[in-house]
Amino acid sequence: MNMQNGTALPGYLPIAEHGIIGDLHTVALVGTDGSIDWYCCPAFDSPSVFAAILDRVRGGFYRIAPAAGDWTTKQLYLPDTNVLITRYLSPAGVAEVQDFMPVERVRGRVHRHRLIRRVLGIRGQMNMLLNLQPRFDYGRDEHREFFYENGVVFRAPSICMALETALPLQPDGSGLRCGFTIEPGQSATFVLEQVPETYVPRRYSEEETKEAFESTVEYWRGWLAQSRYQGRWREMVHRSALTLKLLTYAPTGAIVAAPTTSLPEAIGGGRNWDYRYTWIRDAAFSIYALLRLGFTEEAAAFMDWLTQRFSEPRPGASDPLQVLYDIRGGFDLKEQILPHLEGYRGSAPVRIGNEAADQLQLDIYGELIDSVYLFDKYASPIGHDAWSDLCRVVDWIADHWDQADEGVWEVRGGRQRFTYSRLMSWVAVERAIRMATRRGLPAELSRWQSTRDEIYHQIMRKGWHSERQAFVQHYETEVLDASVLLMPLVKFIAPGDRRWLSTLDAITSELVSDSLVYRYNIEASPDGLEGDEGTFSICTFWYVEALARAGRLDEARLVFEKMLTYANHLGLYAEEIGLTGEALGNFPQAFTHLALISAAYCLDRKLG
Amino acid sequence: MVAGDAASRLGRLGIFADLTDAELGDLAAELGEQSFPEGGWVLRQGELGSGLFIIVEGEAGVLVNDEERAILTTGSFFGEASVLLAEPVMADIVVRRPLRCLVIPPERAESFLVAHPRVMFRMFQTEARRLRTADPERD
Repeated sequence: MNMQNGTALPGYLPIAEHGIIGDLHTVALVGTDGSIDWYCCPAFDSPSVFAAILDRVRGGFYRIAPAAGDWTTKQLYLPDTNVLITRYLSPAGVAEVQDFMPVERVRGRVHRHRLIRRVLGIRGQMNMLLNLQPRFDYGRDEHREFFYENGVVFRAPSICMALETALPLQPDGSGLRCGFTIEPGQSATFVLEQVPETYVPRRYSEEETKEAFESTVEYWRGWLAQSRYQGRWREMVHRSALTLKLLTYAPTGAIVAAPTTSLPEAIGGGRNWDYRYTWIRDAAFSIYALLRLGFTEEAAAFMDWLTQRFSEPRPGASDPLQVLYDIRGGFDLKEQILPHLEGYRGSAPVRIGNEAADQLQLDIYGELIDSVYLFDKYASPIGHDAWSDLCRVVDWIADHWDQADEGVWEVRGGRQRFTYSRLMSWVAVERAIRMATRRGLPAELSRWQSTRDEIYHQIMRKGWHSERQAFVQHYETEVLDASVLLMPLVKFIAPGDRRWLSTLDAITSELVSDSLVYRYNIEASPDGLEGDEGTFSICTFWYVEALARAGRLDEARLVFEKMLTYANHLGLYAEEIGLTGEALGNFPQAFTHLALISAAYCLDRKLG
Repeated sequence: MVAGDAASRLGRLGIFADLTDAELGDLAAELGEQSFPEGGWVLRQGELGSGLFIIVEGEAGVLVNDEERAILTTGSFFGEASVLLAEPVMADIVVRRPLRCLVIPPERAESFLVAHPRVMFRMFQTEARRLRTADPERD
């Protein structure tokens, strides 16, 4: 691999060739080539500082790698942490870069948003080159750079950042570079930090860097030590947990669906979305997974975020909840195309914001109330105010469940009467009834029960396709849809029910390709979007769970084990997997890691 | 445009971070740049200050009693204490990589700083940073 000194990256690394570091406010993607090519600061949904993953020329990057010659890399996490190590191996020697972002642990203290890169000499003599090319606001902002004796301050209209180091930095276009030699026992530290406009960079002492490193390691290890998971595939489950924690916005407890925008579902395609938001849908799965592993604090924080959403009025909206919110609970997610960015490997458009927020997706109420139910059952009983708000939501569902909507996959091809939306409406009412009954809470039980039964009968009558002998995507089609894999998981149907087993067989023969599961057949069910897509990793994990619950344990285990081989070198998953096994879509995706945890937990218990 | 290029080079230096483009242009015209070849000396310990030096490009080592204490690069400045106090310099400055400096002669230092208070403020900030780095407990 040869490096260059210019201001553009030579090409696009595969999506899976990245690790992730973060500070519970935002993350950075670090390529195996030592390049940080995605970083938004100070929060997940802030404009980008580095976005070379979306445009290698205009996006901006921050690379530390050998200056020249042939070299290879390895990347790993320091065990049980989110401290990433990228190793460079060459005939001249070995060096490694430790990348980490300190987590501010004192509540109320101003978060400094530091991204620390520490280069260590391991063997021989390595000539290294640092090249930092920030491009603020997705490459739209001009900036000025000011050189001081311990670093450089970049001043853009929206943000100021400093790169601080004891090593001499040289101007390079509108960025900087630094060539240095490192030998065994030596280290060099570079701190990228959000700073005030009048800031003067300072030199970090070796002791200070070491302390930041050790406290970051201690933070992650201390956090993971709360996990109660002792089952099979523990490393993968724990990596998923660590990744979910990285996707958590600490000030509110919200979890982003993924920390990236517009990584394509198919190379060259237009299915490119901004996932730096919090979907209500993910909530039930998040809370279930976090509680299962013993992370009650995170589950409680996310539950707080959720209950605030259904207690607040939505101006001008008739339905109680929006499909997704920003990480602070905000409603305004206006979608915008960034035409100046070419997109990952030419996959345009690049979007920021997400208009799916304005869709009607009736399933979210089921996911929401299921998560409240789980929290009430396993963590902390629901309070009066939350119950009153929840009753209001259930009453709304009782009046509105029987209508067409955009559905779980957020299609843009018109509303349909989706089976999954009704299934989750059933979950909403059924879980509310369970809570009212178990806790003796006031409720219009007879009305709720008749709604629940009405939904049940309608799904059995209209969602069931007698010729196909399967539950189908919506009432006016014979197309299959992987979302119905959740039917036994949410206890709508017995896992050994005849109708369910034949649905499972139909899905296996039509939507499963070498263990991987498509969410639906795009050709048979046009979704209003152009382009192809890969298999959906979450559907594969649902499939594992459905197989396990149906008692098909050998199959479930094989599918699960095969699915594990599609993780990247660090155990991370994007949303989808392409035909040749490549990761596609935003990365890493919380939903997939949540489903992995749930499938591993279920399968491990079934295997005994 | 040579003058424009020089102004834009100066505009990168932290000490001039608050100056407008016009002020930078004036500064580039007013102050001369000096070049120093690699391996040579810019200042010698004990000699009387020959000016306030602001590094535009290159690298210099700071040696006290032959021990290298720091490396100075783009945006750093040196010679200020000697100029302000009219006392001999305390360190050797040796060129590590070809050096280009903006030089303010000792006799013009005071009038220059008084005429450019924002430059003086930035210089003062850097001195404060140096003090804190030398003794983190100090405030």
